[in-house]
Amino acid sequence: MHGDGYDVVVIGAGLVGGAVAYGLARAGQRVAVLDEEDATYRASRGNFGLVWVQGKGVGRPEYALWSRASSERWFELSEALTENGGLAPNYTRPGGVIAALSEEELSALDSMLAGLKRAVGNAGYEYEILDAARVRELLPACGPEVVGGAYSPYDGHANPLKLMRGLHASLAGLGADYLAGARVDAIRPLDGGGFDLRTERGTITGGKVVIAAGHGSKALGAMVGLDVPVHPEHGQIVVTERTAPWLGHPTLGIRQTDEGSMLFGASHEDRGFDTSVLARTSRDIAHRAVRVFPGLASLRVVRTWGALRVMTPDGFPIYAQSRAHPGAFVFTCHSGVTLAANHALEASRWVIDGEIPEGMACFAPDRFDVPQAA
Amino acid sequence: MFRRLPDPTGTIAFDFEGTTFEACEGDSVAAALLANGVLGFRTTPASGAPRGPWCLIGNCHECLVEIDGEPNRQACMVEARAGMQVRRQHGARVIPR
Amino acid sequence: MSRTVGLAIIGAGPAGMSAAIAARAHGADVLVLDEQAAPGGQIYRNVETVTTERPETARVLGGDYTAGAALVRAFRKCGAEYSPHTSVWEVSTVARREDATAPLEIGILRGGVAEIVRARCVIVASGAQERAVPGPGATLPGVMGAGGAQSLLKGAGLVPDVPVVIAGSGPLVYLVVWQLVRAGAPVRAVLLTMPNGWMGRAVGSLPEALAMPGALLKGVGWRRALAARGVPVMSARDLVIEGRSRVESVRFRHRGRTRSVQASLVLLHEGVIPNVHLTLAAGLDHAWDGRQHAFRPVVDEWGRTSEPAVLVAGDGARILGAEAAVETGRIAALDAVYRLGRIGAHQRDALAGPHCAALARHRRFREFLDLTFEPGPASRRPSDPTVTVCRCEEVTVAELERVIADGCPGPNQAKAFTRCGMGPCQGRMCATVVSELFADRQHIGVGAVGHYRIRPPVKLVTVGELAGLEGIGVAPVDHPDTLTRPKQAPA
Repeated sequence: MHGDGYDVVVIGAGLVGGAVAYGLARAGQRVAVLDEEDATYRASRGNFGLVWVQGKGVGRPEYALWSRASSERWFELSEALTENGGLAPNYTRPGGVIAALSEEELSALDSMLAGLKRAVGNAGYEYEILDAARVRELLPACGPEVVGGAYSPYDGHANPLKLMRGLHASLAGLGADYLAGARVDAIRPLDGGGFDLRTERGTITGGKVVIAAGHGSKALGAMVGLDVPVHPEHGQIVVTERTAPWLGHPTLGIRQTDEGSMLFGASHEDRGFDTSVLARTSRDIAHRAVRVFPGLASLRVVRTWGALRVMTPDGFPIYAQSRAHPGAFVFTCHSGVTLAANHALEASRWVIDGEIPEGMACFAPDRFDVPQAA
Repeated sequence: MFRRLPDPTGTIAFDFEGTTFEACEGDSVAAALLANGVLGFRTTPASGAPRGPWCLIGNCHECLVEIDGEPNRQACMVEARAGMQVRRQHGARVIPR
Repeated sequence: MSRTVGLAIIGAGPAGMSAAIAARAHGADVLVLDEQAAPGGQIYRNVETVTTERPETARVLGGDYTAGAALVRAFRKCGAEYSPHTSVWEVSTVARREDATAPLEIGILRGGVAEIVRARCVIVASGAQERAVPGPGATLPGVMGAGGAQSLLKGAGLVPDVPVVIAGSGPLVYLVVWQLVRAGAPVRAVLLTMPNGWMGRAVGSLPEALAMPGALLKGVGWRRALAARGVPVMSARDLVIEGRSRVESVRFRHRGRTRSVQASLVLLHEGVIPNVHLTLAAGLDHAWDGRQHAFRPVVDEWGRTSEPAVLVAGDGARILGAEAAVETGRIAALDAVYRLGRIGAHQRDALAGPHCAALARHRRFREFLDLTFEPGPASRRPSDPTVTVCRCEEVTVAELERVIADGCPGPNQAKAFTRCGMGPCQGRMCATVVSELFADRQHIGVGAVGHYRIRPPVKLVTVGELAGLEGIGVAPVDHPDTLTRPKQAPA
């Protein structure tokens, strides 16, 4: 541990904190990353692993562009992590499919994507609406209930666990300190800049502090004058035994991992801070999966997960620097995999030079202060 | 590898990778294979290493074989039946077309 | 929606069968769910067939085994609904956390159909598993659990006819050796892995153990039988199982010298540990038992867990053996029928008295056994970096040590980082070892390390079976994805 303090202390060692910390360490900052215990709420271990663009940003086209930029930057992130940490997160971008099980679903997809294309305007937005024959070219295994779908070339996937481990390994390789069991009780802004963090492992001092603590961000943000209105949204995922390569494209809700497991998900339920899994929800997830791909029925389920998305009122990220205490930042979102490249390569720059990157300005929490139109 | 205690039991015949094996009524597939001298039941998906049954009570999943075309069955938990087609499980399973 | 039974019992071994008999004696509505084809559990596996049709197998297995037939007969007659070939993949307490009067939900799989059945009270009697014995060469075909070999004997009358080495610690080692020798198997060596001197610690509890002279004499009998047949019994350290694609020999150190024994089969055994996956997945409290070196559910004197309508009886609560399981089954059943309103508290307490007294004697004897047959530390906390800990995903000691050294906070993160515990056995073969490794390398208690978080289904169910899950009461729904669903209209 650095006796004279760190340039930046990052609270949270999940995908958001890990990615920002990695970017900082890569830029030569002296970084500490604080983590909690093994059994704490960890959205980052419940991730589905999509690097997804298609359909994101309805109501806020900047989010569509932010997501797309990350899917581009992911190639750089993947290469850098392989170099720094020796572990490839296996990012591929074969294009993603959303399968439609009814004409209603298909036309909803069509109008959603057309709307996004209009909203994005000159930035351009590629997608293709697939008819029954075309969807079978991309996904030969899909069943008779699949009437069509949508395809986007921007979509891909990665192994979120290898991403997480790769971030940690790279941080270690770059000399950052990782401190588990260091829950932060208090953040005290110091006169003349900097912050003292009171943790279970003693007081840690940083010139700047990044709050990327998932559900913990709300309380931590309040300590430095940041409003972080996040709430938990329960998501459940079903995972099967490994199978030989079978699915060439990730789809929204069904993908095959680089190790061969099939993942199905994900549900969206308000269950407070309960992380248990419900058989009913697993059933619903499995039910849709076999309607899309009947061949999956014979696979054995080896695991299910329940995790809590860190959700904001409008579903978009919160990125902010405290006005009251400059040098204190909060970064939170529920797409830690998709946005990992942005967080590592862009958000970290903001922390270092104080210049807010173009794509991040619209995600300040003061957007929630605007009174809703009557 | 194993011999059978001299108790009177009915026998059945099943197929293992093209060879006809005899087993006793009530045998698990795992017992039936071991009784016929098969020790390596599968190879692992991670490295291709050979494996055989360890616990024989359904816990360890080391005895996975393909039974009547269905991959990754626990041989110790399935009763051997006349006419069954049994094969070793090689690495990760495939999804039948 | 399917019906709700009064008492569901999971497992038809000694604890489950005796619980069913006791609960039926008080008129309770009892459903017994068991994975096997016939009652008996692992200890009395196939006992009906063996005692009626297989006299030679019965002779080899001995009287303690065949005595189980009486319990099975009584169970068959007791009037409980018995569902064989039924695996239980979940006991859910979620509904009950919101409504204390809600029944428990039990996920079962029977004949390719997954279903939720409901019960007002559940006794988990899912027994024990052999402790995993990681070590050099332990994944080679031809290496089995000693209990596994015994299952082959019980289920199929199979006896090794090639050179066998049996290695480990625990009363079952002696029992299996004795049975195999009686059956004429070529047992080449019995290698004992208990560290020297632990026998001395056990002497302290000998007076208690002598309260169970019959059980103690059994141990003496096995040792004598082995000596008479010329089977070498020796202490062994640093066991290495050698072979290319199957077992060929076993190398070990005995009194400072390296020795080697040719063998085609190696049977390992370091004791048994409670099957905790079902109770862990139910979210019930568990604790590390430092004497038995295993996690077990936290239960009170009746077997009640942190959700009192879920009780655990038999070896699933704590390893005490089959005779004690009969007592804990009865005791749990008495509390269950009390909970169901069939008897009062005074009657329950009075009826439980003799069973509790018998149980106390079994506990004292078990303390003696636990000290005598402490599992060898080499397999509990393996140090050889090449040893495979997770057999499914082939994760080694070295890989785990690397993440532990990097500050990984515990087994769940290690699982995410290495895939240790992510295979089809769901961590059954590595969980305890991983927790012990963390404790060892971080110099903390295993209880503080904790266990993998286990989720249902704890028995493998196919996607198709899960998709068709019956007994839920609501039709399947789609969960529209937040990614593509605006939370609110744009401002």
